[in-house]
Amino acid sequence: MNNLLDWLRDRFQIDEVLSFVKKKDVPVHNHFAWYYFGGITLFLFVIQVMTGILLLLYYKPGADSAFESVQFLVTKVSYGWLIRSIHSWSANLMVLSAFIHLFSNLFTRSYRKPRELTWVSGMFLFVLSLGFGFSGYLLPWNELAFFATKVGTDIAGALPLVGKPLLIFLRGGEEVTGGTLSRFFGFHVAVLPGIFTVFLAGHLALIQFQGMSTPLHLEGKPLKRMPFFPDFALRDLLLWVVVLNIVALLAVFFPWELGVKADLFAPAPAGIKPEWYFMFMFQTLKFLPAYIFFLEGELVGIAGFGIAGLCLFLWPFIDRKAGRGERWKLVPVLGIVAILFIIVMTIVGYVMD
Amino acid sequence: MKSFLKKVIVRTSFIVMAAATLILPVRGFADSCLDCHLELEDEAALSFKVDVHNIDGVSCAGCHGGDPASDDQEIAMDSRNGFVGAPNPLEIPQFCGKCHSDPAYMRQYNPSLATDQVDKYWTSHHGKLNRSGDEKAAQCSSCHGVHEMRPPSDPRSMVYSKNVPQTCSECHADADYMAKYQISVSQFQDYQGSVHGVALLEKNDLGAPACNDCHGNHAAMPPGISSIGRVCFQCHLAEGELFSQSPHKVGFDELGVPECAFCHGHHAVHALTDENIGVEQPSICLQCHSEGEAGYEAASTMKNEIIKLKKKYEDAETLIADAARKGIEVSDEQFELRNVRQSLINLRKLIHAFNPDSVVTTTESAMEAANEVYLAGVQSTEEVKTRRTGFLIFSVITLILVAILYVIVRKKTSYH
Repeated sequence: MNNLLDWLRDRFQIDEVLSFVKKKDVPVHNHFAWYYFGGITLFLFVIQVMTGILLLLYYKPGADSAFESVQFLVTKVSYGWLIRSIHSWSANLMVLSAFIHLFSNLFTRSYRKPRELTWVSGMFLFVLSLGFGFSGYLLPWNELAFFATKVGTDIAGALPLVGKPLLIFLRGGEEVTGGTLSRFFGFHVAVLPGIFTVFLAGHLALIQFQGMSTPLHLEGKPLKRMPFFPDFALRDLLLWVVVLNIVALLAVFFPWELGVKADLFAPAPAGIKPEWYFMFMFQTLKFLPAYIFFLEGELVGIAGFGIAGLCLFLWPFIDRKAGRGERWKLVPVLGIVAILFIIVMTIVGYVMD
Repeated sequence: MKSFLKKVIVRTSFIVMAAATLILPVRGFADSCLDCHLELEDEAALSFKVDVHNIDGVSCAGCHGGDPASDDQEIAMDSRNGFVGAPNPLEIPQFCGKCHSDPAYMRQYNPSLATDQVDKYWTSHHGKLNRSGDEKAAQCSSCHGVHEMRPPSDPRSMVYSKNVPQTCSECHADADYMAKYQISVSQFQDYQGSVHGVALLEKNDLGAPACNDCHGNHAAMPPGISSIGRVCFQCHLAEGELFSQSPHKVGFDELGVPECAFCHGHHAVHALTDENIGVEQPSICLQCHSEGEAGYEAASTMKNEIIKLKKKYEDAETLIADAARKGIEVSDEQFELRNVRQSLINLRKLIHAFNPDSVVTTTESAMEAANEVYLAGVQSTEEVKTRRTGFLIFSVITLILVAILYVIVRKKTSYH
């Protein structure tokens, strides 16, 4: 080990890195558990990358081959069913974990100065994760995914001015076709991973350099601190093993269904649903009346979600009080309202089928 | 010269049109029959507004004669103007036949409409009774209505296929009305509970037969014993062909037994099950065949073959459904299972040939496919077990790893 370190020392300035690693620590407090969700999200992303690469060995994009290749993968290829199922479950858990990570950082005001860019890069990663989910959902080319993509892109197409060009860009034409599938495949395996990697690198680098944020209400209080390496990292590892087991359990006992192959000319079947993490938006748009004053209801809804998303992106610059160490009481209220809204609308979306 | 001619034609046309505009109202081209009868709120006139004849431009006078152009009742309803009034039930077939038996006249309204209804009617039981002077016998208006006739394609029509059983039952289910004829009045009730009745009346399957599909329309008659098979074979073609070549065809004909109806019934045609063949109650075969006969053996063999395939199909179906529920991708097997099910349906159809050898041969090939699906189902069940065992082993390993990590974490954590 020492020989290896000496070998490295002769070539790189690893002592600086080691001393940085040794100095890095994590504040210990009542809300310590929330720190784990960033690591869990990262771990699930790593699973996605690995299983995604394995799926690529067999997946053949195209309206005539996508469904068949996934069917072949899950029936004939050894452990193909397991890899696909893990990829699907892990994707969903990753989005869930990202949601929790986002809201925990909102409540603890981790976004406050000097971590504004960590928050913004995290928001980019979150949106990109949703993009991964939306593009990946279509890839097996089954009936539900086909119509959900149709509805999803229709909503994007309803935007004023940019709607139509955006719809054409997403679908690769007027309708959802094999061309859309090729396009979504490209987004899913090349465009999004490329952009995601850049933001992820930035996000992780910022966390390493700036360390974990202490919750605002505990700032200034004497807190115990735990070394990041190896103490916190070992705890992370422990949780990752547990998460891996949960993913395996879900994959074995509830393998992800393949469904029926998409038929472009078939009427839309009953029960078309987007992925659960889009359900609250989908359901809200369904509830809105056709017109709100003189504006189209759907447009008002899209604009509402757009503004809310933009506010969330720029939240560190909206909540300036946090940077000054002051607690803006509206933050937890808005956070709880948003969580309740998401939960209620999601449940309503599934119940009111 | 041309210009002069043009002028003459245009001016003459103008004068003729002007004169027509002035004269026609005076002559009263409006239908005075309808005008008066509507004013009287006569039900016949009120309902005639939606009648197919009225819609096609045939006014009251088209059937009843008279002069609809006259506002004077005496003139309008004068027999010298062809007024015939309401016909007697015995006269109705000829009354309607005036137009409906005239191809040249009917062509202008509907060239594809048959014009042999009245001729056919005289050959029907209803027509014969009518000829014999029985005013109660059904004639045109009994089934088509009087002043509110609609085309048979109109769901409100009395002769729309779904309404036909009800229309026939108006007389045939009326015990008092039918007492004179001494025939059963249970047909409608029997039909309602039959496979045909349920399909047509409850499931809205317009392809299902109503009374007229078996008995005929205008030439309605009970099908004779010899023609019952032909009636059923109109739809049940495959069964008909098989039966026609079967030993039962000869036997039934010799005995004068109604072919299909003997086993399936007639108005109360019920779906038979696999229990209705073979040599155990409630098998229909036992009505004629007893132990020791070739027919008894044949019934036993056919039943056994069907049950053999049915059991294999059901076992395979259970396994595949269970595998699907547990998340195994079995769409290929489900597809094959549908083929086996189709083979089972075909086998039941093949019974109508009453040839045990062909049933055995068909079952053999179907059993091969059924066995393959069954084995795939067994493999899927094994696959589920393997997956779950694999998960258990993985869980034990991860649990040990978690325990080790936990111990290390507890021991090593150093706060500062």
